[in-house]
Amino acid sequence: MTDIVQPFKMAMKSIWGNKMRSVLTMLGSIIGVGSVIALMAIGQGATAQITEQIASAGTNLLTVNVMGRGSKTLDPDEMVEFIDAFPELYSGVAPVVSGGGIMVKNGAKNTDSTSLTGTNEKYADIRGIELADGRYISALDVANRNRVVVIGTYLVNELFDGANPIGQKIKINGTPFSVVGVLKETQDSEESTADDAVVIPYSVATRLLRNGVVRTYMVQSADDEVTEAAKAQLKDYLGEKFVGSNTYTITDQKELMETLDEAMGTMTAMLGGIAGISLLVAGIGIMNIMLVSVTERTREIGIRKAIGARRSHILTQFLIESALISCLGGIIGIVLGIWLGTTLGSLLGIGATASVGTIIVAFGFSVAMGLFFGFYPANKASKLNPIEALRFE
Amino acid sequence: MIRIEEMYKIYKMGDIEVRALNGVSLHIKQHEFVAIVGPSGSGKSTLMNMIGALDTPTSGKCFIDGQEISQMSDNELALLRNKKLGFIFQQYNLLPRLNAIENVELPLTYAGYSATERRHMAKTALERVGLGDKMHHKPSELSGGQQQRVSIARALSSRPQLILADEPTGALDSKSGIEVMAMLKEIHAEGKTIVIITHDNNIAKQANRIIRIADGEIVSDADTESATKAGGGQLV
Repeated sequence: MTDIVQPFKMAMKSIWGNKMRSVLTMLGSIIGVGSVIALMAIGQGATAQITEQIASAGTNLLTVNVMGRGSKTLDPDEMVEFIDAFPELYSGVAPVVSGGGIMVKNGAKNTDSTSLTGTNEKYADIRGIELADGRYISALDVANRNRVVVIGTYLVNELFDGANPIGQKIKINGTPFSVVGVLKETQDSEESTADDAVVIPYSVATRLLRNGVVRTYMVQSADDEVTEAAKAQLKDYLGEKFVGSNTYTITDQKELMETLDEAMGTMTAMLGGIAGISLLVAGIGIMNIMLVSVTERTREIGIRKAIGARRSHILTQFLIESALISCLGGIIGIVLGIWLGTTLGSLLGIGATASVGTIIVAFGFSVAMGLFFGFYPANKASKLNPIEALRFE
Repeated sequence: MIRIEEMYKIYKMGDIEVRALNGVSLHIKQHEFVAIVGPSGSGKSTLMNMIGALDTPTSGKCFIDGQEISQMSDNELALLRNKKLGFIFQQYNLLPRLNAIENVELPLTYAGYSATERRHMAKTALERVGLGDKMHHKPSELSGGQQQRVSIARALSSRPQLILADEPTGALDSKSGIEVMAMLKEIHAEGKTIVIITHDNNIAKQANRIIRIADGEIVSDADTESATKAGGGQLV
């Protein structure tokens, strides 16, 4: 095959001559390539976001969850004492009491789905929380059970119309608290986000909430390198406290991140794989249409053979045609996939960007499908007997 | 140019054997203008397919320009059709999506000529048949006579020695038919060998030699003068 331009032109003419059919055939590749790229972009975006969230909480974080009820609980003061006894292993512990659907009131204004965190002065450091104004909960607040509160920006807007709330009184589930600080805005001050939250001393929270028991401890190891040792030490301590029962868990943040990353990766690959199946279907669609096309163009094939086309000429012509259909479909699919991924990503609040690798793989797979499924019809065309083909009406 | 020896072509349709060619031998020399005449089903189309290297015989030999076709591979047959033969069909058989010059270029594409060579040769061929001003017209924009002239240009474009015409006037009105026959005569005068298949005696008479075929066998083979004389001025 010396001349590749001519069969290319022929293929373009044939695709252009059957616009509707060509577009419908391409649709398979368009949807296939587009969905692979869009889904992979969203999946990777979500993975990156979750990983980042975990990483921002610190990789030297150990989370202790206590599941036992009644007698088998841990006294938070004891826990704090234990952690503070090993400064070479731990840089701090924050007991955490959580509550949701909290009613916060300032005069006539109120919110009713605010989340509450009861903790100590270490929490802000451990979770990397920053303040916009005022101060955080202090050790003294915990010890004295001071009714002080740090509030999120949503509450500042809702309850104080954006005015400075420091020093003002609010009621949380009917109990008065004085506002000592404001959390830095993290999620556009929307309702039911991290901005719709109140933070109070855990010693106050355990009394304020009906089931007020500290069930979570966030322990920060002194250094990444001692995290393993810190975890082991913690395990020993808790093992003594909860003899014979497995009513607690220690979660290593690094481990969690790795597990999540792996799970998300698997999920993304699965999404991509499912979308990839549509590329297989697209290939079968191309084969179907090319078979119809070969039958319709039997006479044309006969004419071409009569004037000297070799088998390879006919084979190349039809192969180029199916490859071109999947190529064009693939290109449109790439554009669609990038657009869809970015649009859906921003709708879901995920920074989804299509990776070059995904684009190359999806496009390559689409073209390969076109060639693979195009081969059978092309081969069939090239094998036609010229006399019978010429006689075909 | 063409030599056929004891050629048989037998088709099997179920249990019935159809002898399309039943021991045909003939010799066509270079620069002859031969008409092969016969009713439909006589085997003349089969004979044409053999000469045109489109088909291979069941037995017997067919030499075209000294090459024996019955042993040839598909690719060798394609090459022979491309370089040595020019086809003219009753239904023109132009590709509807291509314009006149692209149709004429087609055999040259398969012959491996470059784009500029193709364009030049195709242009020359189209001008030769008087369609230099219709190069970019699609077949559907041309009359039947013009379409047949495009197909003659296509047959001539790769400069073959042998032109095979299968009922070239069959689909044309009488005026266009006369034009096409005049053109074939001119081409013959320029030195090409022409074999024309027809059932029309008036067309056959314009050739120099008439081969009559019936039931797969040659029933008469003579130059036009004696053939018309024998039939009392009429071919039977």
